[in-house]
Amino acid sequence: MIYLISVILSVLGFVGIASSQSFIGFIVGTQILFFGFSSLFVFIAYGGGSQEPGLAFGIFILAIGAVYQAVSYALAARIYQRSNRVAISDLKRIRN
Amino acid sequence: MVLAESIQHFPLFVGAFALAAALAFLQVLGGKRFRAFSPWSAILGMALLLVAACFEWHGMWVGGMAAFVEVARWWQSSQSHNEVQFGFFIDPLGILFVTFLSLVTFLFLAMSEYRKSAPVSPLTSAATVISVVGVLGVWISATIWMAYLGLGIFLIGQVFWGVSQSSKNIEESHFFERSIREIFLAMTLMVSGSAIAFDSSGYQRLDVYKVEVVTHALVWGKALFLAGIFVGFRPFPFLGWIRKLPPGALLQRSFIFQHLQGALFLGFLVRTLPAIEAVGLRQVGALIAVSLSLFSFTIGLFQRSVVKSFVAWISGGYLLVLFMLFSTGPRQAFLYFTGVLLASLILSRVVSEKEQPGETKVSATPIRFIVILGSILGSGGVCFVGTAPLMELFQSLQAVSVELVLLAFGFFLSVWLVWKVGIQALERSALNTWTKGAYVIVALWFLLGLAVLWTGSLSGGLLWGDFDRVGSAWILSYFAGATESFLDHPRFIRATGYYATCLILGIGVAYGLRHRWTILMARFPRFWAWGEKVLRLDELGQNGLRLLVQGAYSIEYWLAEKLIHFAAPALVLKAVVSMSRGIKLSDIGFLKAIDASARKSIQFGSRTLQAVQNGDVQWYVLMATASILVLLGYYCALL
Repeated sequence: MIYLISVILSVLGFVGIASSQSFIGFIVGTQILFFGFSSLFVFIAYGGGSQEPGLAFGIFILAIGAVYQAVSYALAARIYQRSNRVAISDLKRIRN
Repeated sequence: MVLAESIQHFPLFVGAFALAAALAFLQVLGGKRFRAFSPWSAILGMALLLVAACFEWHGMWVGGMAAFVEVARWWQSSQSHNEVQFGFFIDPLGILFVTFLSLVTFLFLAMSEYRKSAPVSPLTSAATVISVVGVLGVWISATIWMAYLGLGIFLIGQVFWGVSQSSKNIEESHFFERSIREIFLAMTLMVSGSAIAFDSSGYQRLDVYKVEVVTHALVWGKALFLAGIFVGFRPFPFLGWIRKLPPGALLQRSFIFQHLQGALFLGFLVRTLPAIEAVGLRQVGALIAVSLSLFSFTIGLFQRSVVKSFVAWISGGYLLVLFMLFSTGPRQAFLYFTGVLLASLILSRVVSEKEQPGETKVSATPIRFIVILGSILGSGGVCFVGTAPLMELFQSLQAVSVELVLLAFGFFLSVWLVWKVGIQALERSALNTWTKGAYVIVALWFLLGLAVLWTGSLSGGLLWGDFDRVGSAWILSYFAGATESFLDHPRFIRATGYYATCLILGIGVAYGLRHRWTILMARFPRFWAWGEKVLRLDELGQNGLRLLVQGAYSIEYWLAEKLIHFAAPALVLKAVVSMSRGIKLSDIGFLKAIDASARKSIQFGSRTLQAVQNGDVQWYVLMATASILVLLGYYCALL
């Protein structure tokens, strides 16, 4: 049953990513998505799986997620500097 | 006594309590609309309690007089002494008390309706009902939490009562503020003491309490508990409130501040008696109670005002009740309590007539009868309910000479004082406030006080061989222990001798000194003045406390002044100011540095990323998700 929490979190994250026009909303969606996945590993590890690899994967995903957040927020700051708003469509404009 | 652990049925009068209390609260809080029904809703609440108690009697009669306990666990934890349990202990004594007190309060409220001189406000009667509900809650408590609940309800009733009275004038409000402070003190001491003493060894039910280890906490708790008991019974040092007692208010005030409080604390003690015995408080408590009662009676004898003597007598009488509880048991205490309560209700009706100086009235014959019978009832005289416990006490205490002497002396002083009050009251009571209804209620009180109703014996167990027993009273099936003490003939005769001597001596002294007492008072005014002055002793404590608080305030004020004007600028303030300046400077610089470096690093990172990324961030997420899923598959294959 507890895996359902992870699944719900991941689905929420996906929905957030798909529906958001704003880059900040996109970042928040990704954050939720990564958190959902990492918690899934943790739950499986404690629910009877082999613990060490599960926890290691969970932490790995969380770390990747954190790096991804940092990169995304840096990009968001850059977009805001350039166009005074934070929309996903602006990402292509600031390319090069 | 058989204790049935299981729940036989839900005690009906618990529901009646709730209903009566709800009625009373509605009356207090409901505004004018509900007050229009008053005070009949208060009387209705009492009647409800009475009817419920009668049903309980029926149930108990059918169930063979077996007490039963119903305990509801409210919050349970792994350790038993952390439980909060509310339990009802339904035994014949408890139901008897519920019946008795609701009947007396019912009649009291009804009688107040007949009074012309001091009409009772709806708030007052509602507050009385709330207080009574609190008292009865304590009387049927099986656990200490239930007893605390009763105390709390009682305190609410007292506060409402004070509020209902204090609107009259500033002096009244001071009086109630003080009395509520005192009862709050008593309750705090009792609750904290009992919580420490009874909880330190882990307890669940009060009727099966045992002490396993004697700890320091137990000793401290005992001391606090005992102090609380004695403050609650309002013995001598707490009698100062009668100094400013207006004569018309005697009936109301002694009902609230003496009878109901006495009943409350007596109930608390009756229910915690096994625990008190287990922690070894009984003998100490008995000695303190009888000594304080002697003191209260003596104070009463030296009062000029009949009202003050009377109030001191009630206080001493309740302390004698306490002594009986500690030295023999709840049954005797209950019987004597009944006598004192009924006699004081009857007599206060006469004593509270307004005093008119310079005018001596000779009372009419019915009033004479009432006063004489009331004095007999109050002094535990023949044929009334006080006889039986006194006789039993005189028999059982013959092995303990100190307590026997103290009891005999206390009984003698009690008789003397109540007859002195009665004789004084006879000289100045008039008939103008007595209506037929008042007569009927006083007659009912006399009926309730007859020994035959409670013990089945006409004389109250005064005659050897018990040949005046007119049949086993139905209450007697619980009070059956009374007959066992009639076995030892010489001991019985000695007890009768002590009883009769004290009674006759007391009445004789009161009658013989009725004029000489006032002459003596006039001849030795300084000696007699101590009786008045000694009542101010409690002010000594209060003034001392006030001085202490004022002293503390002034010291604190002085210190604060000196610090702010002289020491602080030189030492403290400069240091603080320079420190804060330093912090401010370094703070701003630090923040600026952090700000700048963060901005630079982000700008650098984002510029680099700007060149690296292609704009389709969704694809990054998709790829990341896909790689996570691959990881998940790999992990699941590991399992």
